[in-house]
Amino acid sequence: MSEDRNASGRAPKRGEEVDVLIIGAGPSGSVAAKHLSAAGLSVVTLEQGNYPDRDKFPGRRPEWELVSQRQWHPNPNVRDMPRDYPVDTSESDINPLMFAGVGGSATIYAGHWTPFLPSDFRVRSLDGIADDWPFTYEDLLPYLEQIEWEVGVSGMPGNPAYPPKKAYPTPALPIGKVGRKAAEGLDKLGWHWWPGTNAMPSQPHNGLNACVRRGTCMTGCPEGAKSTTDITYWPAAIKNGAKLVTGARVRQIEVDDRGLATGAVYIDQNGREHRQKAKTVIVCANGIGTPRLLLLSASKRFPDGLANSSGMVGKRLMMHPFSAVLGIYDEDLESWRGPFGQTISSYEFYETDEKRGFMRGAKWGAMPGGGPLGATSFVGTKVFAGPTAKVGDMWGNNLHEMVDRRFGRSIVWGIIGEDLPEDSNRVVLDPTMTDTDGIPAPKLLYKVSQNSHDMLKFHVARCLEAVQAAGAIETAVVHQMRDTGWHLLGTCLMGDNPKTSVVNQWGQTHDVPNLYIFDGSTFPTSAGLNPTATIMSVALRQTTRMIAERRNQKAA
Amino acid sequence: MSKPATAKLSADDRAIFGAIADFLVPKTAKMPAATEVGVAAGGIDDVLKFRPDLIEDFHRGLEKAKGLTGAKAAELLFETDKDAFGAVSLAASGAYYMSPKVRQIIGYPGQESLTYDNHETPDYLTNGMLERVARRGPTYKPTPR
Repeated sequence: MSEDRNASGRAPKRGEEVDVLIIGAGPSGSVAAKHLSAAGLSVVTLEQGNYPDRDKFPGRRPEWELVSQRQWHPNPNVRDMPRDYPVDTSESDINPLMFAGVGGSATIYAGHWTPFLPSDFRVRSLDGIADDWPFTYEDLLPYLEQIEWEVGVSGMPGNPAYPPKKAYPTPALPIGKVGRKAAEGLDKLGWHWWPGTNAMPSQPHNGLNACVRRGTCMTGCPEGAKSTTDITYWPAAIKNGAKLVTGARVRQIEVDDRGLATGAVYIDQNGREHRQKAKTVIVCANGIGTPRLLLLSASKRFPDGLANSSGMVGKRLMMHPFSAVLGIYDEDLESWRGPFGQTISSYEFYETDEKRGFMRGAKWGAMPGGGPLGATSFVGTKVFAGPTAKVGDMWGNNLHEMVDRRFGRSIVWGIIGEDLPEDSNRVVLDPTMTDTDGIPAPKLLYKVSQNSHDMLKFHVARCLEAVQAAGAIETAVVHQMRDTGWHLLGTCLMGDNPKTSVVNQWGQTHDVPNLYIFDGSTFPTSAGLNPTATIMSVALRQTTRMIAERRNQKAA
Repeated sequence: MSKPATAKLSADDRAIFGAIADFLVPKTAKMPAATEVGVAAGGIDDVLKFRPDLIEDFHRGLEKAKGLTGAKAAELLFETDKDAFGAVSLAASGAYYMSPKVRQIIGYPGQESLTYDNHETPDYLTNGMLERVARRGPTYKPTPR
């Protein structure tokens, strides 16, 4: 990678035309901003949220659990903050979860670092369903290995669930009593497990502090130890001369008479409209925000939305149906302690086995149970109560007994099943709902498929066997939790054929040669894994190509 | 009519809330009742400060609970007004588990920072657990050629 830096040595002035405009400062946009600016391109990034203030993360305060159920809830419709946009979920089985800010939704992610496997890029070839990606695991591997060093991943090398690869930059975090107990069950059954890989270094790395296992990862890390790009990418990008504009909500990408993108119109936090001109535009606004913006950018020349001649913009939304299995043990597991990433993971049933009655598979990640309020809820959602509970079931003496039994003694297995793409699962513009700037909100039309339902049912049954093999005295299951749309993928399909896909393998839209999409919306399939590692690696691969081809880039 | 959304509570409000809170979180041989650790005093003030979104539902719940015992009020709200019950019950449990005394009894130090030696050899490497996984060999399907 070239390090010749922005030749001018200064950030672009407001309104000045730049080489590259990036929309969204989450994981993919940040990778692009840092590396493009390091290569000497002038870069402006527009981010609708603000720069996170670590002092405001509630993890060190006694009210942490209380506020995590509202102000820090991952569902923007629950959080209802001014910088969030609402999402109409009235016709969706799953609620999307996201966060607006520099660092994007990773600000509130659990930091599970789980790159896609070789089979995830060849679903059509191996299983005869969905699609192959235009590139392979091996094509992506060098970029993944570079990203892991930039991100500061901690982990134990040698996981047999993956082909051999470069070691992680920092040793694995302690798996704690929770991880040890979870591994015990899998060990007895002879099933795969491995110490968790997490986007949290176990020693200081690239501006990050070492994880101190506070366990409040999903409400922002007050230690500055969970890897988010406000720490790992933006200081370098800004030093390179990249300009970051926060509180900038983009309402339209503009095009010229030749059908080339000329920049974007955005609204600042005071409601004023601005125009940012650019030779090239990259959209990195996630699997809901990106198709929303392309649909909002419809024009006379692009009446069905920008880059949508295939009709695929917004289609194939994948959100990973998710189930949780709670195991309670008759011993102190200190299960409020972190990391609230994965202490261990299991890929035992990850690959397809048609005898199971469904295609593809799921990853399991073992997480701690949280504080005393967490004894009855999962990530702010009161799910373990059951829909037919009576007041006395969860309260009175039963509350004390339940906290006595569960608090500090629980393990939560999160099961992420591969969500297969279907055109009917999609993002459209809502006819009436708007955000605080009056811009139409997205609406989701999404149904959990029979394959996902069968898959989760199978995995929950196996997971219960593992939980019981470790000696659980009580178990609880939540099938297909509603508040679990952390992974927003697939709505701007990547492919070689312009008639059936939105972008090529380099993220370049087929219809508008200087408009790119670098986020997870381009993923042809979703894998059964947390996608941030792959989102960032794909963004780096595409960014590297953009730098190499900069002289050949067609611009407005 | 519910009261306007304010975090300020009258003595009557505190008494009604305290009765419900003590039904939801009662005294046992091991644990104090909610009001014994100040849930209806400073505890509820803290909760409504941290969670102003609860205020409206909380007041509506208290209004409906007037003249009822704590048990009857809790049952009524649980059956007829889930949002009000949710606000009142979360206020009770939230304040209760923020109490230092309660945390001490249940052994919860809060979300604390821990130091550890990241180069220490984990026991799963010395007791053979992880080796058993590695010995079973690769589980992934390679990229087809």
